Amino acid sequence: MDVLQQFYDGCHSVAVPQSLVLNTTRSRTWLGFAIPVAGILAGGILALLIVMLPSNPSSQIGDEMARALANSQMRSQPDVGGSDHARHLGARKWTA
Amino acid sequence: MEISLASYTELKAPVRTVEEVDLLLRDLRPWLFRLALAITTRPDSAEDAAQEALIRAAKSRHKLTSVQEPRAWLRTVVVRCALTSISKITPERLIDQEIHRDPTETLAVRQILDRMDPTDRVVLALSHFEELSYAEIADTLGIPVGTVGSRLHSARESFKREWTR
Repeated sequence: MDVLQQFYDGCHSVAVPQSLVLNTTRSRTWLGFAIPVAGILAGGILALLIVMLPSNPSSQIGDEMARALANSQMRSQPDVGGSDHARHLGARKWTA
Repeated sequence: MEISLASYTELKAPVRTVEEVDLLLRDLRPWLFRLALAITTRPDSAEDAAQEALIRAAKSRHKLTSVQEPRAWLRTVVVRCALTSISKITPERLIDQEIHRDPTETLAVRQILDRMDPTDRVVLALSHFEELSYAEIADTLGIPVGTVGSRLHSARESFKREWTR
């Protein structure tokens, strides 16, 4: 058992590593910092994607199609408006 | 693994300032490392355990101002940190260290201790390195005094058996 006691006696004189310090700000659990930062970044990216994406893409496409259809219908209708009628009346008055 | 200061706090009024606690912790730094080394037998694991103990102590420095025996509290903390550090040693790491061993008597002792149960190693370290009484070891580990006696006896027998093999 002398060898065991010699081993423990030897431990008393082992040099202490310089890296062993009392530093209240030092933390070996770097994940404690990395995980919240990664969470905030992921949340930010997700929020950005939600804002950038249309709230309801199918209804927006539907609206655009309806608008385009309405425009084409307006262009295809004959012009029976007041301007031609007035010109016609004016011509008759002039000829009369 | 939070170690309560309640059982170590006997004085209501602070007996030292926070600065004095810091100085005390700096003075106890080598002792923390060497006690951890006596338990883990590995300098890197001992450093991890001692550093973890220092971090915990630094977090509890305000409470440590009114602890009568901060050394006893720190001993309990570093013993637990050392046990955790031992449990983190992977087989690969053990193999790596086995390759670099050299055949001296000290390292032969270390190899036997490495193979022993960590709780037996702690009792041996507290008895042979710290030279604590059975009652003090029982207080540190939170076990009955009778258990300390039987565990120390079996640990010594186990070591002797391995050494003479």
